[in-house]
Amino acid sequence: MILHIPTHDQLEAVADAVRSRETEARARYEIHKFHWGTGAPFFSEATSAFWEAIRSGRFMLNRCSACRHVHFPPRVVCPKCWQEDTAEPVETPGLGKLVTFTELHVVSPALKELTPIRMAVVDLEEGVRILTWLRGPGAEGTAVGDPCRIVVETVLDRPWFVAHRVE
Amino acid sequence: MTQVAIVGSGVVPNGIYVQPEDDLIMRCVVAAACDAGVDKEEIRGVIGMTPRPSTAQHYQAQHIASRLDLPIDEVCEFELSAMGMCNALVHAATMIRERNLPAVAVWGASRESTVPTTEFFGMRTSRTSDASFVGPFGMTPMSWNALGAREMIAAGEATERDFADVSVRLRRQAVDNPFAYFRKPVTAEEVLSSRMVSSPLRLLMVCPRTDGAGCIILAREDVAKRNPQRAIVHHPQGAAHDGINVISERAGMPMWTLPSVTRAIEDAFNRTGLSHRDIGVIEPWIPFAPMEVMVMRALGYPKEYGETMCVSPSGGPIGRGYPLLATGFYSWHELIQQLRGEAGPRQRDGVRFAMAVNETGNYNGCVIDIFSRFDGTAARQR
Repeated sequence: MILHIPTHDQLEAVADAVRSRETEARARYEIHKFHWGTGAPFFSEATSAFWEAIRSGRFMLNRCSACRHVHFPPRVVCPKCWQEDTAEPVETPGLGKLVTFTELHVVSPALKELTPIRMAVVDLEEGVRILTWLRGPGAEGTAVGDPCRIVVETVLDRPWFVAHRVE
Repeated sequence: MTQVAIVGSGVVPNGIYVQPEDDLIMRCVVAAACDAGVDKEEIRGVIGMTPRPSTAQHYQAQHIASRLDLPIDEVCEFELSAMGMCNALVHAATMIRERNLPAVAVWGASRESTVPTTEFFGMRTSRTSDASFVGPFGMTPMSWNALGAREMIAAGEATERDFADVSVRLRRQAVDNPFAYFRKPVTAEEVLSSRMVSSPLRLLMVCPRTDGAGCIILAREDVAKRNPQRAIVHHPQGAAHDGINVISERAGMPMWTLPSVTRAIEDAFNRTGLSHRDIGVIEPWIPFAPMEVMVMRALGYPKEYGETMCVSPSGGPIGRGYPLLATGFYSWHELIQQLRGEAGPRQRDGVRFAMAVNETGNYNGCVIDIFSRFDGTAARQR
């Protein structure tokens, strides 16, 4: 990384940029709060678009417009090139492999209705790892290594991304 | 550089207490000071634990120091989880060296009984992985260890019986520990028929969440020399982190491998000049049976370590109990007893170096603490 010592004017510009983003962030926060409340998934400027896409039934990954690195979950800084605010939502078929799974019998009160929860770790073809619920037809007979797809499904009255086993 | 040594240790038995954390800690401080042979006027620095939201007394360290009438010059708080415990140990030595203090006390308590397990999952562990993308699905350390265990079995690297055998051994070892919660052994059949909590983990493969407290006292060289045969040296730490928090950035990596553990022990051995064969006793931070198999593998020990090595003679969290933020005190206490030759029926003869492994599973960090006797000799049963 090249050492960059900012001038006073540049610092003023950076401060202004953060302040101006805050105006937009506040507007997004109100939308997020309206649909998801103040609990999990928690608001972040980087993830609000992801959760909006989930509400419309689409599971998206993110790609950095500067270095093209695909990552998940979304964040305000690209983990590879450290450019800020360069994440663009990108469509995915959501296909991957079941790395492992567990059937969880002891859960927080909020999830009690779902017990036992079948939890899965899925590695997508794009090279990202997802932890989610394993649901849908055939979920009970799954084995490590089975092909899976990430889809959007309503669980406990909310849309979430979940894994389905595919043939 | 001024040499610093651990001179005293005190813990209360694992249990379910109505006594608040302050009471339990004060009892441990007195026990540790007696064990150390130091006067309270010599304890001039204190490191306490950052209280949980469920703890009544906040700014707890200075509150307790005041209650005990300790003439302290310096007080600070650490979150005494696996990493925090290790930081506290190093910081205590720094306080002694920087300020020329005769002795510093490190203390903490955890009353897990005040928060039911399901609530604990909801308010705490759901937020320690990724609060928005992992936590909402019910992810807990127990379930990520289960995920790793399932993958390990599928890869042919371990069996459910291997995990059950860990619980059997730890429960057997806890029988002789006066501070353990479980004092009765179990059979492999009992473990394998106990109820499933997060497949393939069964109830008896999981630690009981208990209440507990502990205190250790570190002291300046001149204080340690009063009883050199009982003082314990803390060697340079080995540490590593994979820079990964649980799930998202682990794509392509098996859940059951722990690279940070392997790198941490290499770091510890490089810094101390020791090797595997020098270590006589190990106390790893193991809340779930499969984790022990994974950690011992990552440390570079053979599959048969349970038969050849002295691992968790205290019973570990599965046998002795798991007061989360006081766990490190119980591991240290056991290693101190072992090195002094004061571990009674649990004593391993001839121990020269003892090791605490503070690993965090799929939080992907590990700190290795190696201890030895101040007088440089090997432990003999007393």
